[in-house]
Amino acid sequence: MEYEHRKSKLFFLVITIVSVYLIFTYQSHTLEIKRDHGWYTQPYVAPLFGLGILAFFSFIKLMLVIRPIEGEKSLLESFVESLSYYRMVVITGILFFVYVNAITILGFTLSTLLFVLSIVWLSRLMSRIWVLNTFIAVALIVLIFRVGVNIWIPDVLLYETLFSGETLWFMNKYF
Amino acid sequence: MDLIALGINEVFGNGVIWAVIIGALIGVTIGSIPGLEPAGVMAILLPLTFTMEPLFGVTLLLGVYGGAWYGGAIPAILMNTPGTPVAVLTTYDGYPMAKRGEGKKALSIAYTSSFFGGIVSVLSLVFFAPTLSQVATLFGSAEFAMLALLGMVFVVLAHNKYALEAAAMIGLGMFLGSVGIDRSFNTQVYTFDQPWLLAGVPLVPAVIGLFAMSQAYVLISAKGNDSFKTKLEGSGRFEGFFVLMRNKVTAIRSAILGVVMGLLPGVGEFGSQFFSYTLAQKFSKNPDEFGKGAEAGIVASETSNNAVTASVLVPLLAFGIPADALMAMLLSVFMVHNYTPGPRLFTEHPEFISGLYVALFVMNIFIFIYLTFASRFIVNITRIRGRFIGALIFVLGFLGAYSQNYQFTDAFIALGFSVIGYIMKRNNIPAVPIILGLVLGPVFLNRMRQALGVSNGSFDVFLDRPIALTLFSVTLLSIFVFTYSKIREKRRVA
Repeated sequence: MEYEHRKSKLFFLVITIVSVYLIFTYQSHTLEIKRDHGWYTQPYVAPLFGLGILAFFSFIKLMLVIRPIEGEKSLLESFVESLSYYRMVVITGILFFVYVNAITILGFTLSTLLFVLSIVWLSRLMSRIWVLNTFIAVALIVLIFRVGVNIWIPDVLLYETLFSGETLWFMNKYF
Repeated sequence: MDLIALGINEVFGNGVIWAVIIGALIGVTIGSIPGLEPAGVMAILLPLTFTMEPLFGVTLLLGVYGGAWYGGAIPAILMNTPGTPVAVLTTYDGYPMAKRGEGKKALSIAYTSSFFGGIVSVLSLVFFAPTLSQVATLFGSAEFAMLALLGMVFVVLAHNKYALEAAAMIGLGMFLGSVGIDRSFNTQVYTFDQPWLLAGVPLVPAVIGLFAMSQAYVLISAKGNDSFKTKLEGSGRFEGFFVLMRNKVTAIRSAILGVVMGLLPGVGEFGSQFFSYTLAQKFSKNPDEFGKGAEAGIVASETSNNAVTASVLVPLLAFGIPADALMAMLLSVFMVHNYTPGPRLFTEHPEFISGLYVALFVMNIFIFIYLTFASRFIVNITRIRGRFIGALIFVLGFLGAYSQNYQFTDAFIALGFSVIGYIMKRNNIPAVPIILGLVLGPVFLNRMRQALGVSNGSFDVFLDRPIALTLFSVTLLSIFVFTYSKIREKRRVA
């Protein structure tokens, strides 16, 4: 089997374990209704059907790729090696999490600006031209989505401390 | 004629033309930037379309979808990098042609072939959709269950080398589709006592995470200089028309293949493209030229992938069965506006249907003219840094996920799916089956439950009804043929 097809070994190992676990613990996740007939109406049928397919095909896939071939890295080795590829994903994911939570504190415009600038900096693109591009892009997004489409965002803590009256209303509505 | 006049009035009189133009421009731009996929961008735009008039929203998304398929040829030909996954085969002959200094000619062939495929596809929609919607009147729960099953099986088989992975992911999608509150008994199903899971796994954040934000990780973590120096050389802006005439048999065959593949749920443009290209090479007088800049290669590839764009709407409009992840998103636009696909849509909203036909014609004409005259400008788009685009995708992803229900949890769901999507991308596991499992899984299970309810739990209901039996037989036959061909292939290799 080609290397490309064997790459997913770890993924399917995890998926098989999780799906089998979810199948065997189904009673704690769904209710069984006492009825004489009509098994197909039970709430557990649909999830178990999906989980059954998932577990069955994941297991087959796993069986096809689990046996190591000459020169191939072990599961642990390939897991450690792949961690470096996920570094940027973890950092960006955390940044996104912080970004979303910061929106109600700093407002959409400022949070977005800081978020995009952080990624630009992490991507080693921090130069005058890309900072300018960031400002232009964020301004366009605010104009299109906040002003144009008027996507509602909860009131912002920062604006409430800085502004009052009509200015506060304006800032909360558009920025 | 009245229907055409109605459609023209809808498109030009009610401002739908702007949706066509804006959607097409966005689509062409997305297509010309390698790494940006229309599915992700459509998912981001999807919640915005919920506030628009149905025809406006649907044509905007279709403009993005169709435009991306055209635009994908630009980087495929000039940079040897497909702008969209379906432009892979265009690189085989387009790039060698561009290297010979015939970039303009190669682009012209791609645009003209795409236009031909696109128009044939719209015609197929006009003819097949109303007819098949009449067939849908004969459908009951058993038939719909079998059609959904057939769709899911086709999705798996269409992934060919990755069929096992696709089957597992269909199962994952079906499971995710069952999470939430069970309406029959008002009980929680695999919600893990999380209130944000009570309404189930939302489609839009899942699509945004799996397709758009996961791709943003790829763009952001790309090493080195990811901007491309592309240039457009040669002459022959209108050469494509004459090339198409010289290869008319290839073009017609590829268009028909594209239309047929589009009608089959789950198969789509990938299957049609590979079939068309292989057949074009097989019937060519100079098969050795394929892969080295053969005109017929570009014709086959571009005609077939664009011939899918409208015919893929047929199963959606006639039966409400989406053929791919993009159609699943369109279905949600229909549902938000209470436009239930099926025969009643054709009788109750003829202005919508005729407007859709006219909009698709206009879209193809607009994109063709735009690309023919604006290629030099569009080429500059390919020079935008991928990492910068990646950062912006996250912001747009947030807006898309959040704006559907105005809940931050949806943005976090998108984040979760983005990580899963990235892991899947790195391990070559297809993500499309998850979305189709999420959409078709509940259709299949609910319809099966209804059918079994009518028959008091007897599975004969699927065998006694001719249409259900036919669909079930086709499903079994497809699995058998696929398995048999795989075993033969394995024996031949051994």
